[in-house]
Amino acid sequence: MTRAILLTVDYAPQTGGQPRLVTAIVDATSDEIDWCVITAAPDPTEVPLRAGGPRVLRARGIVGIAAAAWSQRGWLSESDDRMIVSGHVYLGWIAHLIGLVTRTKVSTLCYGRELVPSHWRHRLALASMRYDHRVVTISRHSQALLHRIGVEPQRTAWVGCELTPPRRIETSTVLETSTVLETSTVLETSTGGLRLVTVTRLAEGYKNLEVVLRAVAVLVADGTVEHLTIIGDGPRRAPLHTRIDQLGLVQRVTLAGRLDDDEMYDVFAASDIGVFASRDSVAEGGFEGFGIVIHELAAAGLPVVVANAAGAKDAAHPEWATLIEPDDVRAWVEAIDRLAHDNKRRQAQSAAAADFGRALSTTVTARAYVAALQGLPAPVRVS
Amino acid sequence: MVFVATGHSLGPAQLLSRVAQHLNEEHNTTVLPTSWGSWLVASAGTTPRWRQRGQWLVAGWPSADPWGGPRRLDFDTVIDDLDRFGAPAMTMVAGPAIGLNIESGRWVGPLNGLMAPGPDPSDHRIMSTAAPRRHLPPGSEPIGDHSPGFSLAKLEREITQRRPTPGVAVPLVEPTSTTTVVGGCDWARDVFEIRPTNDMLVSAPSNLADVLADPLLTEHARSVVAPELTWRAARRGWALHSPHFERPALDQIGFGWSNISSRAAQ
Repeated sequence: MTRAILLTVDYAPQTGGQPRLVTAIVDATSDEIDWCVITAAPDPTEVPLRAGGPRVLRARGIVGIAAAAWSQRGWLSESDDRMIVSGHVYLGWIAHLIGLVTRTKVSTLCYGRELVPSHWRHRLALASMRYDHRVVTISRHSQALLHRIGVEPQRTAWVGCELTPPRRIETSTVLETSTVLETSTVLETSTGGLRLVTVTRLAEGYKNLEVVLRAVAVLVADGTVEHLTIIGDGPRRAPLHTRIDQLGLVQRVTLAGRLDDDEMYDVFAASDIGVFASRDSVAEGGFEGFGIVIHELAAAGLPVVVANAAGAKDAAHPEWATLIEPDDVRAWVEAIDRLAHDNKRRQAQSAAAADFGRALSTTVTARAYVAALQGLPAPVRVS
Repeated sequence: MVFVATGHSLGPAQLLSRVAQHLNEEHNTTVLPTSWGSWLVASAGTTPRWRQRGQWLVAGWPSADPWGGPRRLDFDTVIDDLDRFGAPAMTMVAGPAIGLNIESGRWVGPLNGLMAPGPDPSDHRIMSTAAPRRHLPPGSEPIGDHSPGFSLAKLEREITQRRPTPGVAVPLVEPTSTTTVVGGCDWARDVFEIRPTNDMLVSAPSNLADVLADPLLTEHARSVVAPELTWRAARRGWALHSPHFERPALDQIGFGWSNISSRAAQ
């Protein structure tokens, strides 16, 4: 069995796309890889290790991770089949130090924003990837960034981030919804406009929610859109609320805050279209590495209108997603308006989205990552 | 160039007399009475740059490109949108363009704000698409928050990357003036034609980063030089886009400007 050390900042029980992906890779491949996970993510409620599960060493900060990794060098060297995975670019040099001592190949798993250097220490950290066996990332956009910072293209790969969603819609539910849509023209009902939903942190400007609000302000005027629910929280909540107020949308837009899975899927179930507006902001150095939320919206049977930017381009599929220019309010209005007035198109996209959601598999994706990290041909992805 | 003026409680003759100083023999002028006063539109050139249908009048060079590129919208499309969605429809338009509801006398402007208040807003207003000043419509104030990753220099880079690709340089040399010099650079020499149309210009100052880094120079460029260039372009019968000073339909960038403003205040 292959022995592997994974150095990672993020890990369960943290939530969010990055820890979910890393944790999924370990969990889904623990039958063929003996993982030793060294992470800075605390877990005060951790139960004793289960038999056959990965060993998880929780350390404090980068120094703690380095010390823990050093302590595992003997264990790693006992196996002829071994690898080291750096789960964060800031841990790359530590991984290479252990790799040098144990004569083990180092590969790196990276995501997106951390690939845009903002100061010299950051550039120094990124430089370690030039010496990696493989660097695997989650989208074409991130892969292009790797090439830009000097990683040889033949050492890079992208896999996507197609994880099993917490919930997905069953076929019968989609058909039931479709029937309802066929028998009652959406815009003929008194409150029959579309209900939109988006999920995002309210922390960065590149999330581009202002453009969605502008589009909603236009579309509520003739009843095409009834409501927008924004799931998520963060420091921009207050200014966004101010904007909602200025646009006269207080009754039309709900800042729902952070919701648990059950609450979130209740909102999805009551919605008609998902939107995902993140742009690629040079000014902020911010963009989406992938956009797992796009898949979660799709898995709930929602057509998704997606900004054509960064990693979201790889997450969106034309069968159920509409890609549009993120800064173009007119394009947002036209895309949502088209879906509102074309029930057949919306139903078809809804069904395709649900089908896609049912095919999502964390296990398949995790195995593809491990193969790519080892430099092997990746198994076929869902998409 | 096109002027649109409203005169609340003014008759057509009174309004015409108020704005006559801004017009010349090149303008084809229309002035009509309404229940609230009267409105006037004066367009220079062979092609009228305005259209009135139903309750809406639209004037200028409306564009579908949020960055002011040459994706020209015809007036009927804009009026169709205004009929359907009301005033918020102008959100979908980039200027230089303006809309006027002639039933109410209320103006609507695109988010990039290429319209300006007239010389005497108290009794009548003139909106010119060759706007002497940037004037954001209500509700388009920037969001006053900060993002940890935000960088002024990167904002400048982003604007530069996204603006329309300039064509052949068309320096604005008439009338001669020294007021276009900002930070030691003559911005009149940094004005370019936008392809494929031949009646629109874009300003692309080569020393923009230096100017944006200095609040005083930024303010001078915004309040004096950009209007000066706009006026010169109008004298030649062309429209001028100044993407760096007349932001496209993005609160996102407004948020960037908010940071610039707060820096200037410090």
